[in-house]
Amino acid sequence: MHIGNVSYDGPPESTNTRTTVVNRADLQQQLEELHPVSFAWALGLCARNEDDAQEVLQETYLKIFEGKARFDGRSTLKTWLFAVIRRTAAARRRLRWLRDLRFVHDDVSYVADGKDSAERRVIYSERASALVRALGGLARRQREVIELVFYHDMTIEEAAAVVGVSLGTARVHYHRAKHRLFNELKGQL
Amino acid sequence: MIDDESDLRERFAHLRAEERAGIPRFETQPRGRKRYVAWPVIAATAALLLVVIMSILVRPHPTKFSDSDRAAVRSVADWHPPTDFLLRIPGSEMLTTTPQIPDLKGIPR
Repeated sequence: MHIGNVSYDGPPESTNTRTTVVNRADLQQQLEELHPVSFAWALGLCARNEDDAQEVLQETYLKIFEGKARFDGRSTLKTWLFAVIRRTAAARRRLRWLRDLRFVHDDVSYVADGKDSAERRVIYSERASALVRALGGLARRQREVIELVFYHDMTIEEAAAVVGVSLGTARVHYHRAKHRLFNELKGQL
Repeated sequence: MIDDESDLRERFAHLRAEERAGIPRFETQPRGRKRYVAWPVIAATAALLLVVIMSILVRPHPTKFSDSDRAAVRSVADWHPPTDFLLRIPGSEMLTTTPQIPDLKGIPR
């Protein structure tokens, strides 16, 4: 269940196998391979807000390359990365709360690109919108577990490792979330 | 239930396909805005909290007496020692009363 501690020296291994040591270039390559699924996971954690998801992901990569998040091979790289993304998104939510209280503010003179002025959100079809709405009605952990299992094709055990709960708890979240989604989506497109 | 689950899987696959279109390119450089901690706001809030806490702690609290406390005070005030009569001496009323001046009308000068 523990996720942490890493070093980057040594030969790379596949992202699907347990990896203990990788050099920076290999790690970057593996992160790049996982980037699409990582972005999708970040998107789910950030209420489908693309800008937030992108920033969460970049903070995560930065943490990894600065050595603040270390992979020790106790899980697959993907499971570990998803857990780091989840923690980064949680930290960002807390920061947003502080920002709302005016304890933290952004540097308004800094504009990274022309898209920072408005929040970007994915435009969904009606069918996908229904699912996104139903997911929004779930408790956070339920939503995380169900997305990991159904969207990212993880096992409940892997989802438990990402979310940081026991397998039993993850099973409960999974079944409750599934039941609620069935009820919410019943009769819809 | 199996149909429900396969429907759910199909919905998630659909969502995944739609979101795949908007995946940004892989970047490891920070893109977000710099953030600053608003220390003056934190200091002002802390000072305000300190004032509130101090005013609560320093404020004089009015003493509240219960009925039994008041009864105890009354009983003490009403008590007289049994030897009180020994302090009463003849003529002692002169010490506590004002003498009456008689009406002088009708008395020849």
